[in-house]
Amino acid sequence: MKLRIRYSIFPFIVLLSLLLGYPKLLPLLALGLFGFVSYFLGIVFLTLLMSALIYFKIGGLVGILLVALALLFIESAYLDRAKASREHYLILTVTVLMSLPTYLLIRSLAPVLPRFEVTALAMLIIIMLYIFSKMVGGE
Amino acid sequence: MKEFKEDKYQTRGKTIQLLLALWLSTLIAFFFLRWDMVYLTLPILWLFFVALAFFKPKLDVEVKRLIPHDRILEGEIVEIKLKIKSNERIPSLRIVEDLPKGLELVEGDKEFLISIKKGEVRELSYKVRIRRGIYEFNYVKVEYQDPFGFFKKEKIVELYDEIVGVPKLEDVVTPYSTKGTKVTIGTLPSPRVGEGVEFHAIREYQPGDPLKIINWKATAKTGEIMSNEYESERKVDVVLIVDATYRGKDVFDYLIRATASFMLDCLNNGTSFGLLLAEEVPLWIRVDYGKRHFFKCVDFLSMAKPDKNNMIAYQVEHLLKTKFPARAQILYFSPLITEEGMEALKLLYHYGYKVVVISPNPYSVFEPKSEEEELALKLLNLKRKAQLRRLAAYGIIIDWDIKKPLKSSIAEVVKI
Repeated sequence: MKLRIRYSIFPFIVLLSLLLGYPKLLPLLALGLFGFVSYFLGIVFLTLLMSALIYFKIGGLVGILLVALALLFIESAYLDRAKASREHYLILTVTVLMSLPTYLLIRSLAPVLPRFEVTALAMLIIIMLYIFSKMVGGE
Repeated sequence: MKEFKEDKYQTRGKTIQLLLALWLSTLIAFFFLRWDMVYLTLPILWLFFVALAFFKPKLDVEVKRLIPHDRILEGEIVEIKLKIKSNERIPSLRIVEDLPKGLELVEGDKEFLISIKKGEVRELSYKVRIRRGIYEFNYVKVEYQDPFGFFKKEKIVELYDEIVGVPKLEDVVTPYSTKGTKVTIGTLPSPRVGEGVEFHAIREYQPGDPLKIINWKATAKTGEIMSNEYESERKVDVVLIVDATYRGKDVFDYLIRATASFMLDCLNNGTSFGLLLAEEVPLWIRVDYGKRHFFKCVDFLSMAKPDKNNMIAYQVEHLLKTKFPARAQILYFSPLITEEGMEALKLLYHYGYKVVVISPNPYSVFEPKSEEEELALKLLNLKRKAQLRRLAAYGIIIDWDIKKPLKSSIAEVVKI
């Protein structure tokens, strides 16, 4: 495990400032610190954070933003360790933050189409898994 | 540049970990009966979607390696450049250089992660310190991974290059007479074949003497026809013998440096020389002249390694009966630390060869750290001195304290 911090500190600080409003979730950040040194520990932190958000019913745009920031943090910590170029951070940030307008879109369409968000998500997950399994097994 | 291996797409460990996180979160959402909150996985889904849909290159890259010289003096620092040209846009290209073992990386890294556009040429570099030896670069591994590091594809580009780390040269003086029996040819100090050009004495004219050697001044003075007499420019053959015993491994590099330095001295003196590397499997390079021969010998010296050889006396005896030129001058490079090594010297003497021994003191590399160590070193040095004194009957022995220049060690023994 090597420690190399460049840009990953920024999403971490934003995440910290947002979590200050949720004292129940704050202890998780201690585990989040390990995300700077290990991707696996970062994933454990992300899973626990998502579980806590579900358990405490912290959803909506804030919930998505918290997950996006946690993901951005562990992925950029990985890029820091791999000495990636700035372009990669940009692609990562844009990709992760795309989940916010997607959520808003689904949310705005939800009143028109009952339980649309869940249906859409289920569909997305199935498509994604299909592509993934085809790529790993087929090529 | 030739490609010889291409791999399929591979899933990386972190992909599995993130997928697990995705599944666990989905299961937890269902477990707590808050299945609608499964939308929290949207950022992860976006990440996978973008990685799969937008980043899938063919790895169409050309790689060249630029090395300033193929022969480099040991201890020097060299900048090695990798020129990468991509025929497609690759947002995340990892390049791994096949850095041979033994080269010390002093600046930069052997791995690079770059982002490259179509048609762009990038130059990457790193610096290494060269040690004595031959170093082979066989390939460069190019590896694509999507910007998030989920999937990778690698290709090995065959790219062969070689660096010979040649031994450092010491300043030396010739500790033996170069005059011998062999007539030399070529661009050597003796331009005339036969009688030589170096003035030796004046004598009376003898019938048959060419007119141009008549000394007219002396003839006028004495009233008799006098001729100049020239010293013959015949040269001696030099045979360099390297005792590659593993017990002298601490001073082995010095041994090789001394050998290369004396070889260069032979080249400058115009003497022919041969080399015997007494490793476990002995290597004999026959006596010859010239720069090409010199570089050939230096290449072999660059590869020489201390070996578990306890047959040097046998090897020397066999070769001096079959290959060594008669009346050759022997330069014997040995730490004189093994019985066999000393026996080889005695054999050379008994067969009538003139021997100069250059013996780096194996104890001079150590710095005593305590009084006990200092005393032990003193005792070992005394024992060595006594041994060398006994061996002095068999040849000129130059005991080289490696902390001093070799030239001054020679000057202590041989009058220059």
